Amino acid sequence: MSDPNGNKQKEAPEHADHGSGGHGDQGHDAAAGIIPESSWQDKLLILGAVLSLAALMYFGVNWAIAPLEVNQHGSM
Amino acid sequence: MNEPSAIFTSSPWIVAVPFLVGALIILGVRHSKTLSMLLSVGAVTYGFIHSLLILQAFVQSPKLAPYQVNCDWFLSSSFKLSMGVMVDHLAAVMLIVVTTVSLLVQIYTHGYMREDPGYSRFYAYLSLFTGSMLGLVVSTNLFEMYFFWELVGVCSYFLIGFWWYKVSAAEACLKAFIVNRIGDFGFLVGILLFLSATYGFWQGHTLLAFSDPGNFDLTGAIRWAVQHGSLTPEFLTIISVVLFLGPMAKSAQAPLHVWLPDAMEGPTPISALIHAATMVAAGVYLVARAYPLWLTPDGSTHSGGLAVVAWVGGLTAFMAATIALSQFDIKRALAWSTVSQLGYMFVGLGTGAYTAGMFHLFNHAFFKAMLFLCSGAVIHGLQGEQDMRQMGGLGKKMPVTAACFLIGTISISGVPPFSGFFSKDEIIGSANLFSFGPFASLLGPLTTLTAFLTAFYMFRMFFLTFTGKYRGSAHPHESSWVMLMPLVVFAVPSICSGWLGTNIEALRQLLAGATPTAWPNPFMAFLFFGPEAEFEPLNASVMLTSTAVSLSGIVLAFLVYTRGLSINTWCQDNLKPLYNFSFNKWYFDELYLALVNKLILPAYRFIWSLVDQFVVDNLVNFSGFATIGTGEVLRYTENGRGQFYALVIFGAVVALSLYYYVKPLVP
Repeated sequence: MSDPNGNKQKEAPEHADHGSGGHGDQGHDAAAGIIPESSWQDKLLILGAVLSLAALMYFGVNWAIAPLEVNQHGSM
Repeated sequence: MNEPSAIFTSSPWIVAVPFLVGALIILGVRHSKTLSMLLSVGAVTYGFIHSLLILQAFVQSPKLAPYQVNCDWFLSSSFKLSMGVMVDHLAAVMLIVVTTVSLLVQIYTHGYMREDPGYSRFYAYLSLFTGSMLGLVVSTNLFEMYFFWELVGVCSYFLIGFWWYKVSAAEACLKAFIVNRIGDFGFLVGILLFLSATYGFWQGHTLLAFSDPGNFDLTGAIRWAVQHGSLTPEFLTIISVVLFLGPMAKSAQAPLHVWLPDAMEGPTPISALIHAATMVAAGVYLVARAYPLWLTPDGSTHSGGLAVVAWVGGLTAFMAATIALSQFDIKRALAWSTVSQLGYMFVGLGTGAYTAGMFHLFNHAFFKAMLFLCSGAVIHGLQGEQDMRQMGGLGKKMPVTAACFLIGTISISGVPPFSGFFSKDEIIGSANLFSFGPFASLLGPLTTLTAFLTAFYMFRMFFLTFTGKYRGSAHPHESSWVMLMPLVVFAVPSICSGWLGTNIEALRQLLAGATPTAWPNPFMAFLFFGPEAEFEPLNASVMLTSTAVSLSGIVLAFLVYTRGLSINTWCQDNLKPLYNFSFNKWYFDELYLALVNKLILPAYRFIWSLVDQFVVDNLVNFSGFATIGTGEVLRYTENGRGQFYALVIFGAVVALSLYYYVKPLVP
């Protein structure tokens, strides 16, 4: 898997993009494979994500099963 | 005439609220991280719900006319520039894309950036970007779109350079800014060229309007200008090609693509939001929104402008796919994949498959945003490692991330029934039918070959990252649920958003042995260009070919990266120039650097030494010396003594008398 030229990957950043979690509560100290505890903000956002999924599915299914009438205006 | 409902009349708030929240965070709320996050997420949640209601209104009432509201921006006696909001079927689709991706990325951001000192600033930028992008989507004319086009560019600059203290990030944001300036210059020149050809048409109506009930829009302007002789088909082609420089830069199409992989220096949520799903799709959206500019004056898709779009897209898709084959940085490999898929969208639009191009934008936004967020989860779980050579076996440590990445990988590879299959298949089908200009028949095979490469490099990424043994030294761990949940949500449309491109009744007919004569589907019935949708019959050969090609790529990647088939090392050893060509990204950066160092800077220095140093400096010096010399001479005559002045007057009188004595006034 190495570069045959022996080159260092040119575009590899000097400082990797790791957000901040790598240095924080979910970083080196976290045991492998364990998903850390969530704060109330986390729980609120997770709930928001679940609700957004429900909304997407509801409106998406509505779109898919709606009677196939063609848009009268097209684009432009 | 029915009054528009409150869902439409209140649509300007979709744009305004994120701007207000962004300003609020910057002006004071930034001191409270929680409040900044809640305001920002709240604003985009509102936009998301409002966008869904708009979509629902159009789905329920296909005869519903587009909604448009304008206010004066700039007025003179001869023209009017407006700023407003237009919500039609095309905008409704883009509103869903932008708000959905932005909402989920903002949720993910909370987990990813929670300890970053710039947490609130990041949310402020996210809100400003979201507002700018939504403004671009609902723009009513080209000038307004250009305004928001620049705003999203500025936000992108801020966010790529978010960690500005890293030299690589500072350089990357500068590179993105400069390359986009080149494209935006073309965009502006194209706008002005078109305005010059159609200036007499607008007569107090909004300049360069996209759509107008009285035909004071781009289509009407082209028709009028051709009738009045101010616009020829050739000139329209030139305008469309110059204008296309804007989408080329914004959507990272060759040769203005070089900024996008470097833009991965920004935090991963930004890569998912801006550089995968929304801003980079703005170029595709512009071509779709101003589609008449790329057609012939009589509305045919057999135009030079569209051929340029198709070929730029096709060649970029192929080029980026070949580069992605050899990259080891997980985010940059995904960035090359984005460049390639954007190329597919342009192929769709360029070959006249308007709906297919937009459908691929729609599907791609979900699975590519998810893939980037997955890569962020991997990088996060490996304490910053981005090199796939230091990964492997992460499927056991990060099962949710691995499952989502696999779904995205299958989808982008074009395997049925995942979403990417439906749109990519339509584009490849359209490319195979492309017949304008020389070499037109090569575009179809090129996109098919690219589909093979796509499946190969995407599964290469998956196998290198998630299968085999772990090769690194970090302690891999799965992310928190606040980061994982957005991935799970994205996984659903990554699987099934493509089903909007199928028709259940037609599928039933097909399974019963009948061949449907046409293939009407919800997405095409909803969004198409022109007076009526043109549904096409099922092209089974293209469908089977593209599926077979994708599966071949997957099987080859499986054999190489999990079963030890050493084709890759053989290629590296025996096709070294080709491998290096791919690894070094076709040497575009080196070429541009050489051009700047060997041509542009020397030319600049020559012009500087000739014009500035020789002409301008010498002119300035001469005028200075002339003033000094004149002063030196004249100062002896300005001595303030009356007798001396009387002597001068006397001398002058004597001289004049002598002159006219010698040469009388009357001959």
